[in-house]
Formats: sequence, C-alpha cells, structure tokens
Amino acid sequence: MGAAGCAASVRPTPSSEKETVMIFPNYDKTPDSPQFAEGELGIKICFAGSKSAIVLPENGPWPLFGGYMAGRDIIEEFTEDIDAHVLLAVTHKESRGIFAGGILKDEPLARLTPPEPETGGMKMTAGSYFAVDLRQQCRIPGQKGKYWVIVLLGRMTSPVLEFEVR
Amino acid sequence: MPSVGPFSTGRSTEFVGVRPEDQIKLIELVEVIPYEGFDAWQIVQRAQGRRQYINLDSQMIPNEAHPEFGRCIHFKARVAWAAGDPARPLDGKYVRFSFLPDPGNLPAQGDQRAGFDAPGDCGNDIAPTDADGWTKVSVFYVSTIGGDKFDIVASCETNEMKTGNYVVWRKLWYEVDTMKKRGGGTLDLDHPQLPGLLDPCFIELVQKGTDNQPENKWNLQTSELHDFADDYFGAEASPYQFQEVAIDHQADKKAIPSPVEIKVTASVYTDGTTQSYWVYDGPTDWLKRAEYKVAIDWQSLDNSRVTLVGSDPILKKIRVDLSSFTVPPSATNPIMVRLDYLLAKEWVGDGTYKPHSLVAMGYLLDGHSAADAKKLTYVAMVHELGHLLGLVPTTSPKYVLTPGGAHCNDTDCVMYASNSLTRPAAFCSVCREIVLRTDFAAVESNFTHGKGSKA
Repeated sequence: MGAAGCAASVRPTPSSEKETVMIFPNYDKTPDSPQFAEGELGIKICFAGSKSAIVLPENGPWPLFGGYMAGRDIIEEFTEDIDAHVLLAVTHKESRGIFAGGILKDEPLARLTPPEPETGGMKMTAGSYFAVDLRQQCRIPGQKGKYWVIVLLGRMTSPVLEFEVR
Repeated sequence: MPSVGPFSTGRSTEFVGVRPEDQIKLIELVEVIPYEGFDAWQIVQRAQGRRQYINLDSQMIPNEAHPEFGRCIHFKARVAWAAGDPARPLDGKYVRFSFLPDPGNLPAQGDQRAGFDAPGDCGNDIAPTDADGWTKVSVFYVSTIGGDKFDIVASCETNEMKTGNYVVWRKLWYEVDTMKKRGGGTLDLDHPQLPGLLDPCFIELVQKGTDNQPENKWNLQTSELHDFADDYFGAEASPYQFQEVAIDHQADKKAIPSPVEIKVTASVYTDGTTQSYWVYDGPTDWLKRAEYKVAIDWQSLDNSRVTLVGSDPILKKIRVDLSSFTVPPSATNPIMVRLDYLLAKEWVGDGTYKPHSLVAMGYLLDGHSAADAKKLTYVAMVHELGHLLGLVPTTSPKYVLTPGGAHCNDTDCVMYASNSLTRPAAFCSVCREIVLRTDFAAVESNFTHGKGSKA
C-alpha cells in the first residue's frame, strides 16, 4: 500500500486547539523547510526553526525538515521515484548504533508505466521537500544522548547535523 | 460420539490388580459448559472435537455460552459397574483423563503447551467418581499454537473412550466499508477471498457489521485518514475486529523546493517519465508558475502552453508547447523553461492506524485492470493483517528493515515489502509459523477500538 502504511505516522497531541498537528512523514513545504535559491542543487536539512542543532525530548517525535534539488545526473541515475532512493542515516555516539531509513512512509507501488525517452528536450532538475520523524522513520529505540544525522541521495549528501536527546 | 476402543494410551498402572467384581466400565464422556448465571455444571454436550478459538473470551457474548472460546475445555465421564450388582454406589472409583497430541503438532515451550489443570502442567488427570458414577470435572488446556490437534481420552480398567480432534484456531471479525464512487456505485473490495487466505494460519475470519458506504471524497490526505476511518467503524466485536475500508485516492501534496528547469530543444517537449500531479483541488491547480528564459531574464509563460498528457488516468507527462514562438526552440537554439508545480504523492493505502486498513481502490482502478486491481487489493489486505498480527518480528530469520517498516525478505511471501502484481497472497513457511505461534493477547491492542459516530 505502497505496502500499506507499514511505517507509523506521528500525530503529536496539540497542547491547544490552535496548534497545527503535523503528520510525519510529509512532503509539502512547511514553515520549517529549508530554503533553496532558484536553480540551487543539493540536499538541505534542518531542525524546527531552521536550526542546525537541537535538543529533543526522549519520548516525543524527532522532526527533521529537508529538501533536495537534483540535477540531470541524479535524474538519469534514478529515473522516476527519486524519493525512494533518499536515505536517512543516524548514528548514536554512546552506543555507536547506526540507524537508517527512507523518507517515504511505504514502499512505492511497482511502476505502472515504464519510462520512455524524453522528446524535444530534457528535464534538468527535480526535487522534493520532506519532513520526517527520525525516531519513527529510522526505528531508533529512543536512547538519550548525542546523535548525528546525514541524508544521502546517490553521491549527493547533506551536511551532518547534530542533535541531543534528553 | 466419543469412540470406544482399545487402550490407545496404554493401560494405566492405577487400574492394574483391580478385581473383576470391582471393575467399572466407561459409558459416557461429555463436555461440561461453565457459564455464569446458569447452574453451569449441568450443561453438557457430546465430546466430539471441534475448532477451539483460543484468543476469544468464553464470556465475551452476554447470555450466550461459548465453550469453543478460550483455551480450556471441561470434561467429565460416567462409569458403571462392569459386572455384579449395578445398583452399588460408584464413589471412590477413578477415571484417567489424558490427551493424544497429533504427530504434526509444532514443538511448544512452557505455558504454550497443552495440559490438565494448568497450561503445560500435567499430561493426565486422575478423576474420582461420585456415587452416581460421574467423575469430577477435568479441565484441559489446549496449546497456544494454531493448527495443533488433541484427542482427549478417558480410560478405566476395562475400556476407554476418545473424543475427536480439538483443533487450535483463532477467530477475528472484519468489517468492510466501501466509499461511494465518483459517478455511482461503490468502490468494492475483493474481500470474499480473504477468509480462505487465512485458513492455513488457522485464523477464522468472519465478516461482521454494516457497510456504511461513506460519501465519496476524491482524495483523502494521510492526515485525514484516521478520523475518517474512526467515524465509520462499527467495532461490534472489538477487541477482535479490524476494518477494511475502500477509499478513492490517498495522496499528499508534494512541493518542490525550486522550480524544475527543462531544456527545450524542439517546438514541443514531452517528459519521458510520468508523475501524479496535484489535481485534487482543481484540474489546473497543479501548475503554480511557468516561465521561459530570454537571454538572462525569466519571462512569464502562459500556463496554457504547459499541459498534462497521457492516456493513463493517474500518471501524466508534462508537455511544453513553444511551437507558436517566433523562433521555436531547436537543438542549436534551446530555450530554458522553468515550472513550479505541485505533485501528488499517491499511496495504495494505509494500515498505520490500527485496526483500520484503508485501500485506495480508486487509485488502483484508475491505473490497472479491474482484475489486477482486485489482486493488488486482497494481497494488500493479507499483508496488512500480517502487520496487525505482529509480522515481521526482528527474531525472524527472514526479517528485513525497509523504509516502509519490518518485512520479510522472501519475494514469495505476502510480507515482502514491494507491492506489485508478483507478490503472492500467502505467507512463507517462516512467517506462517510465526503467525501460528502468535500470542493474540500480545496484539490485542491492535484490534481494540470504539464505535464510530457514523457507524
């Protein structure tokens, strides 16, 4: 379903009715999404409030906001459904644990129509936003401590960000 | 009727040396049904074997006795004098209850095992008789492993009686709600196959409740699913009931951080790949902005020059038509175009919010034949039920962690991650044994739910 809903989506309980409940993962632009200049390529990630480092609670969601813009080389490498190849990698300092996941909540359905050659030109860029709960998406047990996170798409990588769980 | 025959369990030592005039014979072997509100020990029925639904509570349905629910089965036997004065009191005699496990039963440990008086406790029970020849009630616990079979044997010094197979089963109910279609009818789920697909796991599925036929909504975003499913769930048999819901589409908005650039080298450009674009708020709302580059400046391009094309109702290609330009683009004179648009991230369905399983039947029917859509549907339903039952645990030798969660690495298993027409509807032998051994008490929370407001 993809393979239906295998990864859990997080629905934080709002403390007031005016708060917006964010569902993870999602792929729309949010106020916390990183900014890209027009034509800029790469992977950008940040925490809420555009922070590059953050302290997160042990039992809450661990949101990471990101986006990528890929050039022609990535488009040719992965053709369609580039999102399925975006990988999250998280390491935990104290336990030396390594956790990984994707940005999709499910496996995509097998391609219905095979890709054909573009005619009359070529698409030079492609991209997407994403917002994920690292703890759910990478199935991290939730230990306290220091973590590092990086996002990869083929040879394209994001900066490494650090977060601490207390 | 229980069978009477030679000593299948061997003559017990407590019967050796009994004088012929003191010997008894078995004449009746029955089940006793304990039930609150009745003088339960008077309710008896033939002891002849049946399915025993171990995950259900024997008291779960008010004012109904269900001896086939739960792990315990209660027996008693009646004896008479084998010879001599039949009117003599029979108190003080003994009947031995024991069980014969089927050779095909899976190995069990500890409390998983069958036994008398307590799980795995004892292989037999020596039951004394009263003056009328009835034994005390003997309590037998079947094992916890689906598919295990047991015969119960009552024996005395002259004969024995045996029941038929008591077979360990589990039982769940499922409700089907089918959203109305755009244009009439409903988005039907191919669920009649579903119960048969779970028989090899000794799980009996029974449809229950009303199809509440929700009004059509072309697309439900992921954030709307839980409340939608909650509203229509009857939950009559909670905590043993799950819900299968057919919806039209489940798609989320997918924005791009920067407009996509296209190098147009002919008067008309057509994309080689297809995508699902956000047409759910209106057929032209997917395209936010179109521009083309003149020298170093970007100029606005009329949106009408950018269209979605293709025969597939879901997956479309972008086409940019610059044929009316004074100097149309060419290989030697390309024109850069950039488009800011919204995509739709389509999902086949969702099983995140237990015990709801939603299938985007409209999406499947838009992109597949009816037969293929049906197959994808019932395979997805079995797959999601597997997750509700706890598959795939990390202890499985075939466990693999994928972006979508814990799955089986066997491509011939329904718990394989990839959702395609080649994925079968059956569990592999490893996953099947895990399901046979599933402790339903441990997954009960996955099936626990209240009734919805529109059910």
